[in-house]
Order: sequence, then structure tokens, then C-alpha cells
Amino acid sequence: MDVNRLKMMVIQIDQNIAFAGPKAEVIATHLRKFWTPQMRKDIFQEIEKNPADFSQDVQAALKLLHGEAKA
Amino acid sequence: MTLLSDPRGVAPIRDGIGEPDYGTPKSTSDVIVSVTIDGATVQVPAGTSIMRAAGENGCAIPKLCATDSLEPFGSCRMCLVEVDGRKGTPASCTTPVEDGMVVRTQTPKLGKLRRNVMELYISDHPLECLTCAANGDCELQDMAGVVGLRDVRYGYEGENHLGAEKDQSNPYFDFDSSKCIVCNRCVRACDQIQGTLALTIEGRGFNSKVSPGGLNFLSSECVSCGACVQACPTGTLEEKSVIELGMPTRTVQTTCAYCGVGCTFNAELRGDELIRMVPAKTGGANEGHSCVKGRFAFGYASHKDRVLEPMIREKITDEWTKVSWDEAISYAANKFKAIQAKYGDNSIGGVTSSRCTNEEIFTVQKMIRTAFGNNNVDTCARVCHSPTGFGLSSTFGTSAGTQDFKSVNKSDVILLIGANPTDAHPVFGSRMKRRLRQGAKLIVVDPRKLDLVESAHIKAQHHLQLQPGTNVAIINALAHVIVTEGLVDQEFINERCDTEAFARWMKFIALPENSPEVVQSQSGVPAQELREAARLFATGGNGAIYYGLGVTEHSQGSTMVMGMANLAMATGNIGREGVGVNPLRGQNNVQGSCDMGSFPHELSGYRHVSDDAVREQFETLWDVKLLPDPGMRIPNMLDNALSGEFRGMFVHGEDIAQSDPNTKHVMAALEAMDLVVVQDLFINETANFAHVFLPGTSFLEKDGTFTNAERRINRVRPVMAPKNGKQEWQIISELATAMGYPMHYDNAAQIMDEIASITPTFANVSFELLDRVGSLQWPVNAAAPAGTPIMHVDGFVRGKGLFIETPFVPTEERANRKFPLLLTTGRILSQYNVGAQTRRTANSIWHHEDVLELHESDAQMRGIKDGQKISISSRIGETTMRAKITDRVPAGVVYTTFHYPVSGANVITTEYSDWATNCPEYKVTAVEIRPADSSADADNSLDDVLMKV
Amino acid sequence: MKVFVPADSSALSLGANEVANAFEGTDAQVIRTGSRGMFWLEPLVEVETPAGRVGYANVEPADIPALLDNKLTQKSIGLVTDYDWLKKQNRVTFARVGVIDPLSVADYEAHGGLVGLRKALALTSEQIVEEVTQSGLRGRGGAGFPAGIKWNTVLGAQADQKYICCNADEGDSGTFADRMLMEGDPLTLVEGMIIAGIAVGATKGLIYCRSEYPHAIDVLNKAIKNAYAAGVLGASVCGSHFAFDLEVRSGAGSYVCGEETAMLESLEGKRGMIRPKPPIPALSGLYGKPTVINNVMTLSAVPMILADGAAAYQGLGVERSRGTQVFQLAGNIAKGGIVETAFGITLGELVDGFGGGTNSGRPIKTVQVGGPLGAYLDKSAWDVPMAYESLAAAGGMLGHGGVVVFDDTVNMAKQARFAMEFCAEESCGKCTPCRIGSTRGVEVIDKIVAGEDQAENLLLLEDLCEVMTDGSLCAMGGLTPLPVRSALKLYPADFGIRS
Repeated sequence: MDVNRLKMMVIQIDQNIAFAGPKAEVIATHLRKFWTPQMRKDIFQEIEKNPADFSQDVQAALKLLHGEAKA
Repeated sequence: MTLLSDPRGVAPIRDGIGEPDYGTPKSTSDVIVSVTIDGATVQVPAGTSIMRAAGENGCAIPKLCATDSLEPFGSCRMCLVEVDGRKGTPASCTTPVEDGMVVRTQTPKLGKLRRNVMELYISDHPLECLTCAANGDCELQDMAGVVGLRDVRYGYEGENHLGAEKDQSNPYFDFDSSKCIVCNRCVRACDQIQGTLALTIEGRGFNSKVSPGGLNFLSSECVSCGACVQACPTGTLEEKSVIELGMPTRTVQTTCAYCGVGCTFNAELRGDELIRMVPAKTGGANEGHSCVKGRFAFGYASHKDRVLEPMIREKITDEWTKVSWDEAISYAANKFKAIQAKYGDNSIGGVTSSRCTNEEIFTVQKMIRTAFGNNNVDTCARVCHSPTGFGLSSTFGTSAGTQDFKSVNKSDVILLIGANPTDAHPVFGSRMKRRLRQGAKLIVVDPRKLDLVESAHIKAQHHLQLQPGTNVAIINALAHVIVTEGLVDQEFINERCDTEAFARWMKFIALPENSPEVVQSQSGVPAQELREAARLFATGGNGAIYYGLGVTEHSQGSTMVMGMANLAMATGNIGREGVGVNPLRGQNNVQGSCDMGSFPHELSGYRHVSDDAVREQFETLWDVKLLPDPGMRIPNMLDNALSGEFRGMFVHGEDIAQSDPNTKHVMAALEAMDLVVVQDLFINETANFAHVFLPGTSFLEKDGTFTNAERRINRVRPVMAPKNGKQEWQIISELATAMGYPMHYDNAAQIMDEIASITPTFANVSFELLDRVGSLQWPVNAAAPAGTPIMHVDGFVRGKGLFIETPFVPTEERANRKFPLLLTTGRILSQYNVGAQTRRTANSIWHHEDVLELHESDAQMRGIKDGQKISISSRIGETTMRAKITDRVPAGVVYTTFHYPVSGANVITTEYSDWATNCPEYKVTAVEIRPADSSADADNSLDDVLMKV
Repeated sequence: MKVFVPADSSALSLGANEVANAFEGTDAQVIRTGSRGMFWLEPLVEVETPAGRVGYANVEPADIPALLDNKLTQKSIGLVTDYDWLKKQNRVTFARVGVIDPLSVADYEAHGGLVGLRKALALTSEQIVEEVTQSGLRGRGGAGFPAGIKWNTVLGAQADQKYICCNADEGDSGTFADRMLMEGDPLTLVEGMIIAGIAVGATKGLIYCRSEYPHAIDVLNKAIKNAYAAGVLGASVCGSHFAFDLEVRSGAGSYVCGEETAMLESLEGKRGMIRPKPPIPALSGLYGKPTVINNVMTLSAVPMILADGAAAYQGLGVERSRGTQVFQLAGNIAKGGIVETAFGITLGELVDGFGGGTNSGRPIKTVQVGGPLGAYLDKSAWDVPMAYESLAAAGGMLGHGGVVVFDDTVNMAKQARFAMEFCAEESCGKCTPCRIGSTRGVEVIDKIVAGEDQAENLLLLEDLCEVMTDGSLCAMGGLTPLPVRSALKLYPADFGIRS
């Protein structure tokens, strides 16, 4: 799938979740709940390539998910 | 028309046709009074008319101007009675019973009076009963018989109206004034039921006559809802179908397949020929009312364009070949299997249709999860109300509206956001108008000046005319005022909501960035107006929120839904009549398609696929292994088709090539696939890219249930045999079986039994129960055996109501120098969505092309004249339409409907979508317009359209 | 020198404006007043003298120099208050009409105005209603319903808003009392409505005046403006904590809008159609709120009742008809005009005594009392006392107090036909007996007169009258048979019936 599309989606998710707490977990939950494994994999690869394009929260969230996938 | 009722008003004459008519509405009083009628003492609620008390107790009083859907009027003077201790002969319709009252309904004096009144009527009525279209369905005829009229001593040479001209302008009914008895039932129906006030009485005395104002019905304000035709006791207002075909002889009760209101209709037939659709008074959603679509626009079901035989082709450039069902099914199954063999299990998927029954939808998603072996199932709800499910389940715990429609009768302040019920949900719109005319206050949040902002006897207290795309800013500003001015319902919050989350939210919402003064600059809505509207909502009594696609189809659709839920909780407006957060669903069965497990991440009843316990139940029942991860959404499927990973799609009754955004992109994706299977009534835009076409059934042939916007499960009963030879769930079962997963049902009831067995909110639902009680609102289970009209009464489904922070994130799609205008879209009364059905009926007479509404200043600036063809371009594409200059839209905003494929509204809509659900951002597209050159003038004239009909 | 020239429509039609203009350039101070209601004397100019006002009848502009020189003796009727026709009356409601400047609050007060209102302001609502109840005042619109009982119902109703509606849709043929009061002493009506408002808790009043009375509407509007300026109307009535607002609405040119429920519909901006009762307007009237609906004459009697006490008013009249009635003499009559007198005067005294017989000099054939829906009476009714009960017993009705006289040239079949025609013309068209019945009535009468199946058609006419009387929704259709039946009974020969 077009990774730019995924990038746009995850940035949008990041902007819209204004949870005043452990936000990375909330983002991770959202992606776990609604994204296919392939989409999660693709975006993780993108983050590894261009981490600067993503917020700390998104990076943390994706790391969380990646950890689960490997486990 | 009160159908063929027994002269005594209670039992229908012809088997199964007609509903009893007690003459006046039921009293809602709890006080019971005792009254003696013709010697028998009966108990009825206080406020009941003598007429109704008598009729309910088997002693119907003759009547003409009274009907129980309308307030009593007292004009015909047929229902006069004698009451002990009272002078004269009061009308029984306008006289309420009193405790201890003694009434006589049949005396020689009354008999003579009634006969003499009838004699006057008939002295001005054509004597052509035998050839009249209403013969057998005429209350005047019935009553003349009841009172024993034998002679008209006045003769027929006196002054009369027998030469009055017929008005045949309406495509669905005739108005023959010569038969009119001036009972005013039509005028009152237009006023009290529909709320359009199109009809009036012209002239006075003997010259009084019903008039639609102006030239004729077609050119009048009439919206063809049919309420007047229904109310007419004679042949004055008569369906053209009855005039042409004659009286029906049998009836089947079923549910309309247009919008999410879900009106119950009695389909009246003679043999297998459908004569007319009559709204049922017993219908839970509509209570006897209808709109032009459900009442009249059913002709598409037998339109010549319908495809009735399966067809296949190798390539989409080939001609279609008609084949047998077996051949079509095995062709599709083999191709799907071949794709999976080559590209993996995940390379195919499908889409369920919100136009189909719960039973059909359930089988489609089951086929995908079992026979396809993946979770790549999505539904067209993706593009309309997916944010509703997300937003309401996050905050309240249920993916559905909180109220029944009737609840609006108890609302004091109605906050209407991004919805236009008088066009898109007309029967509910009429209900809302009735409440507004009783004095409820209205706040409209919409970029466009809807009819409800100001129409007959209705004026919104506030019209927050926002810039498209700033909903969240507005809802935050309203909440900001309520929080900072101390208007929250703290007691409700303490008792019912998660107080920690509330404290977080309160801190967020009180931030200056959410103040009306800041939001004014973002939305264009004056801060003072926002403040006043917020105060009104918080302090005006029962506050109810109703919303439509103007909320969901935005990049922040889900955020907005949560924002509305926050507002409702903050003001304590949840859990009782008159309040709530209420989505007005577009399609007839959007609610059902979501309930049935059509989303890639959820099984029926909104249970996530990752829930092991739930999955295990399904696995046991279906004897198959299910995947624990979400499958693809429609946009993912299309994107993956372009990248070659996704290669086969089953499209169930949805025209994604026309209805989904960025048409060019959708078409390219469809074209890239190896197999597209379309099941539909017509060769639609998507079918042009299909390899297999499976003919579907119209709602008149279906057997099953639809679930409307108020969670009401309504029965859909087959009015006729399937024209294509098979029920759709049969076709799906055969396809699944052919793909290697044996699926078989004997009938649709079995499918519902399976749904009930595995879905807690549907646990007690069965066809048998539905047939017995009419309809049920889910949850229907041991805890709520009679269903649940209002949700969250004693507590939220999720436990405590959850406030969620809703930051305003402006959409990426904004007006700029190249595309300085914002385009937003909506619907019109006479047409339905992409128009596949309504364009194949006479409804096109009212709307035969989509036009672009624009403000005078925007037109002037570009030298555009009213009615001129213009070209509309966005960064995605370009289309042409005719311009309509109007003050309904503000400068900078343009608006159109999307009922005609030629308009190509989706050619220009963008790829932006809701952050949580990917519901497309249809409601905001930056565009530029300019006069079109004459070559682009593909004229869609009315004559052409009517020819097609 | 003060001269008083009427500006009432009836006087205007006889040249009163020209007469008033003729005083220009003289040193006479002209005061425009209402009319005394003696039409055969109009224009009646009054000149102030130390002894009182001296009247000059049928004055023309050319008479003015002589009048100013005190030389117009041949037209003088002497002191107006001593004029026998007027002296024999008991002017209560009309006490100020023709006397004062209708627009002047000061003049009004100088002649006893606002005394009733001031008294009312010192009473409780219940006390005011009790006073009106005790006075025996009944509705002057025709139905004669006791005003106090109606007010009490409105007083007892709970609502955020109540209304006082004055029915000034004076549509009966031969009636003009409402108009003359509104033109000659509008502040009496205003005062009566304010008292009603205080009594029942209504803060808003509406006067529904027929559009055919442009002059009355104009005078009312000016008088109301002056009453606001004087603090009589508005947020603080006469400095009290009571508020009362009043406005005039022009009618819709329909006779049936004089029926109270049709009037309410019309006031709400709807078509003037009859509403069924119940609910009664006292509980659910204008915009569904409790509403007092009274006629101009009823409300205008109220200030005097409060000023002089219930007993004074109750002391006048006979049986259950208390107080005075403003009779209007019209038609073929020598001395037409306003006769206000206590109930109980006989029809003969009115028509022959006050009226002086017909204008044509021919014998009186019939009299129609109570407007176009009233019964025709002949000389056998001359001794009937004019009161609700006794007239009803004689087969007639008082209605709005109109008395129309016909001489022996009238054809009563034509009059009966006219009754049906009038009904056909003015029916609101809601109920069947009135809507279709009136048109059939005309046709059946024509057949009877033409001698067509006379016996059968007489029976049919009787059946029609029965269904209209018993079956109509309101008095319009219900009373139309009254003139028809009475004409048929008293004058069968006019219908060509061979007895």
C-alpha cells in the first residue's frame, strides 16, 4: 500500500488524539484495533527510514506494536 | 385514504386491507373516565372524544371529516350525537367524554339530521360511483349507505361544482375538485402531518374549494408526501395507479428501502401487481406518514433497465454473456480461488450493502470471513456513518443513536448539525417540524440556509452558518461557553460519567483556543451568536442533538461525534425522552450493516475480531478458523489494488465507482483487479468494471429485516416473487459453497435465528416475534425483551460516560488562490443518493439535474449568470453543472447535490478522510468555477429525463 | 365661542366636514366630537352657551354666518340635553358620545372617565370580577353570556399569557353602535379593556375592528396613542404595577369573523373559520391562551359599572336582562339613530315612539330585530318587552340590538331568500349545513315562489331549516332559518302560498 497514504493517516491520528496521558499507548491501541498487520508493518519500516517525519508519540507507539508483532 | 373501512369504522371490509379509523387521535391521559354510550358503560382515558370512545367500543358513529391521524375539525356534521343534560346535538368528534356522561348515538332525530346532511352533500356530488376510481374505497359512498339516503330532493340542477376542472399535473395523483366535499382533511394533513402548508381553502361559503395555491399541484409548494391523498375520504385525491389499474385486493406490510427513517408501508396489490404503497399507522417509525419516495417512487423495481439474468465476461472490454446461475457462480468462485492461490488469501475481499437486509448482509460478511478466509469486508457505511460508530462507542459504549424518533416530541431545544431532515429524512423532518411549531427552539449548524432555518411557521433561533470544515471548532466553542459560564449539569456528570476524564476534558475545553471569540475567526460565526446558542442549549430544557453526514464526512468526523457526545453529557442530555445524540442515517439499513459485522475489525454486535472468546463462539458455530487481526477497509482495498496486492472484489449493492470519492482513483483501482463481482439491480458505474454481474432483488422481493436510525428492526416482507429467481442470501450461500465453505439456509428466518444466537444485543429477535409485535429496537434480549427505545437510561452501556478531548485540527483541504471556493454537498427531497432508483421514476420531474448553488458576489466576480453552464474544478478533477445564484450559501461557499452521474460530484472530491475511520471528506473540497464553453454543454433537459422514465 | 361639530361617519356623510370648514376664519373654536345618534338632525352643530349646549339641526355651510350671529333660530332645537328624544333615554355607555373630543384624555377625564379604572386598581382581581358579575352585565354581541362568569373562567386559568380581545367586527345590517362609540368615545372602550385585563391577569389587548370602519380604526389608533402618552396604557397603567398593551387589528372583510372563534383564527393570521368548542376561548383562545372575548358594548359598559357600582347598573332592566341596551333604529324609519335605554322598553315604543314610524310614511309591515339572522316580527309583537328572555319567547332574538323597519311594500319571500343568500355569501364554508344548505335554501325558496311542487318544497325547506338550526357549527348557519321561518309563518301570501 502507498506508504505516503499511511504516513498521512498516522499523522492525522496523532493530531486528533489529545489525550493528556500516555498518548503513545492510545495511538498504538488505535492502530492495533483498525489497521491490518501489513499496514502496521509498512509504516514501521517507514519510521525506521525517516524517523524525523514522525512525532515522539507516534514513534513510541509503533515501537510498542513492533515489539508485539515480534513477540 | 382511510381504507375500505367498515362503515362502523373498525373492521376492514376487504381481507387484510385498511386499518381501523377511530376518527380522533388516541388520548394520552392516565385518568380513566366512565361514559355510557347507547346504554353500555365503557371506560376510556379522559380527553377521548365521544366518537373514539364509541368506536373503540364497537359502536362507530358516522363521520366524514374526522380521521384519527388528524385533530378533530367538526365540519361535516355527520357525527352529531345527543348528550343528556346538554342542549342541541354536539359533534362527537370535537366533544371529549366526561365522567358519567350519557350519550345516545342513534336516535330518530339524529338519523334524520344525518340523512339530511348527506342529502346536501350528494346534491353537489357527481353520481358516477360505478365508474369512479374510488369505488369501494370511498367514505362518502359508505356513509350514504349507512345513513340510508334514498333520495336527493334538491335535484341536481342547482348550483354545483360538477364542472370543476381536474388537476392532473402531479405525476402520482390526480385532484378532481368536482368530487371534493371540502372536509379539509387534505388541508389539515398538509398542515398537521407534513407541515408544509401547501394546501388551503380558497373562497368561502359554497365557493370554498381546496387549492394548492398558484397554478396547480405541480407548481405549488406541495412535496408529494401523499398525506393529502391518504387523508381524502373520496375520489378527489386519488393515486394515478388506482385510476389506471383499479382497486387493490390484498396487502403485505413491509418496510421502505429508501432512507434511514424506515417507514412501514402496506403494499397494496391485486394479484402480483403492486397498485400502491400506503404508509401504515402502526409503523413505529412513521406512524402513518410517508414521503414522495417511499409513497410513490417504487416504479424502479419493475423498470426495464433491471437485469434479471446473471452475466459474465472475461475482460471488461468484452460484451456481457448471459449465463445460468450455476455457471455464473462457479465462474466467480473459481476465479476468486485462482486469485487466492496465486496472490494469497488476503488478495480478495468484499463490500456489503446498506441497501440490503440484515440477513443478506450477515451472509455476505460471513462468506468473506469463512469462504474467503479473511477479514477484508467493509461496508458503504464506511463512506457515511463510520465516525458515528467510532465516536459514540468511544464515549457512550454503543455504536448507535440514543433515542427513538418519537423522543423529539419531548425536546425543547433541538441542535441540528449537518443534516437537512426535510429533504433527506422527510418523515422525521415532519415530526421535527411539528415539535418546532409547538414551540421547541432550534439551533441550526450548517454552512447553508436550510428550509428549516426559516419556513412556514418555523424560524431557527440561531443559524450558526459556519465555514465548511469547522464543525469541531464550533462544538468546542459551545462546550467552552457551557463550562466557563457554569452551565454544566454537575449532578449528572458526578453520577453518570467518568469524573477523571471529565476533569481532563474540562481543562481542555476551557482553554482560550476554544473560546467563541477565537472560533469566530476560524468559523466565521459571530462569538455572541455562539454564546447565546450555547446558553439556550444548556438552559432551555430537554436538549437533543440531531446530525447527519455534514458531521461525519469530514477529516474530523469522529472527533465531531465525540464532541457532540461530550456536549450532551456535559448538559445532562442523555438517558431520557427528549434528549440524546441522534444520527440521521442515510441508507435504509446503515445501522443494520454496521450491526451485522460488516466492518473489517468487528464481528456482529460490534465485537472486535481480536477478542478470543467472541471469535471462539463464531469459530464453533461456523466451524472455521477466523483471523484475529482487522482486515482492509474500502480505501485500503482500492489502494492495494493499484499496487497489485489486492485483485478480486465482491461488491454487494453499492456503486463505489460513483459514490466513493476521487472517481478517477476508484476507477483505476477497479480496472486493475482481476475479478470484480457486482450484485445489483442495474448495470451501474461499478458494473462497467465488473466481470461477473449477479442480478439482485428489489426490496419488494426481499424477505428479511432492515434496522433504521433509531435501532428499530423492521420486517421486510416479499410482496412478490424474486424477479431474478433467487433471494440474495441464496446466491451468497451458493457462492460461498462453491468456494468450498458449505453454507445453506432454508429461509431468511433461519439467518436471523443464527444472528440472534451469536449476537447478545439481538438475542431475543426472531421473525416470529417481529411479526407479532411489529418492530423492535435493539438491544432485544433477556434484560430488555420488548426492546430499547431509549439507550443509557440507567447508566451508559460502557459503564461511565467518557469525555474525550476534541482538539480542532483544520482540514488540509482549504481554499487557496487557485481554488478559492469551498464546495459542500447535500441531497434533495425527490432524489435519493446516486439516483439509481429515483432517476428511474417520475420523481425526476422535480429535480432533473444537479445544479451548483453559489452566492451572488461569487457569481458576479466571475461573470456567471443564473442558469449558465459552469465548470467546477478541484485539484483532483473537473466537471460541469448549471449555476444557481442564491442566498442560501454565503460568499465563498458553493453547494451541489450528487444525484446524477453526469454531474460527477465525486470526480472532484479528494482523498482526504476522517482520521479514525477513513470516512471520506466529501463535505469540503476547494474548487474554482468559471463559465463553461459551449462544447461542454451536455444538456440534460427535462424532456430527455421524462422520456427515459 | 365654542362650537361642536360631529366627526362621526354618519354626520360626515351628511356634510359635517364642510360645515366645520365653514367656521374657518371666524373666531369660533371648533371641537370635533362624536354624534349624538339622531341621524335625521345631522349635521347637528352644538354651540356652547351659559345654559348649556344649544343644538342646530341639518346645518349647511351657508348657515354659519347666521349661526354665529345667533340668528339661525329656525334650525335650533334648543338645549340638546333637553331634547325630548334624548331626554327620554338613559345614556350610560353613550353618555360621552357626541359630548367630548374623542381623542382627548383630559376631556375624557373631565367627563367622568378613568374613575372606574382607578377604582379597579384599588380592588383585587376577584373583587373586580365579582363587581361585574353582580352588575348582571351580559355579552352584547348577541349570545348574552354573563360577562362575569366568562371573566371568572379566564381569571381561574393558569397561563403565562392571557389576552383581552374586543370584537369590533360589527357586521349586522342596521347596526352601528360599536362604530359610533369607537368614533365618539374610544377611551371608554380602552378603559373597559384595561379593567378587564387587570381583572383576569391579561396584559395584552387586541381590538378586532372590521376593515369597513377605516374612520373608527383611525380614531382608535390616535386615542390609544394618546392613552399611552398619558400613562393610561403601557408598562404602568395610571402609575400602578399593572401593565397593559393595546392594539387595533383590521378585520378581514368577512361577516363570520364576528363569530368569536373565527375572529381568533383571523387574529392569528389564519383564514377566518369557525373553531369547534370545546375548548372554549376563555381557556384556550388567542394562540391557545386564556382569552376574554367581549363585544365593544360589553367592554364599554364596564367603566361605568366600576365607577358607579354594580348595584346602579343592576338596578336597571328587567328579569335577567340588566342594565341598558343600546338600540339602533334603522331601515325605513323616520327618526333613526341610537336609543340607549334600560331593558324592557317595548318594541312598539321603540319603533313608533322613538322611531316615529316609517320614513316613507307608509304603514310598517315588519321589523327585523337582531341583525340579518334575527326574526321578522309584526305588530302582534309591539308589546313585547325588549329583553333577552321575552324576545326569545316571542320567537325573536335581541342580537346586537339592531332594529330594522320595513313598510308595506316589502316582499317577505324576497327577504327570506335574502337571508339564505346572505348566509351563502358570508358562510365560512366549514360546516356542511351552512356551506351547501344556504345555497340550496335560495333554490328551494325560488321553487316555492314559482309554485313548483309547493307542498314538497315547503317540507324540504322545513327539513333544511331543521338541519341548519340543529346541525350548523355556529350561529351563522344555525340562525339563518330564523328570518326564513318567521317570514314564512307571518307572510305566507308573499310566497304565493294559497292557504
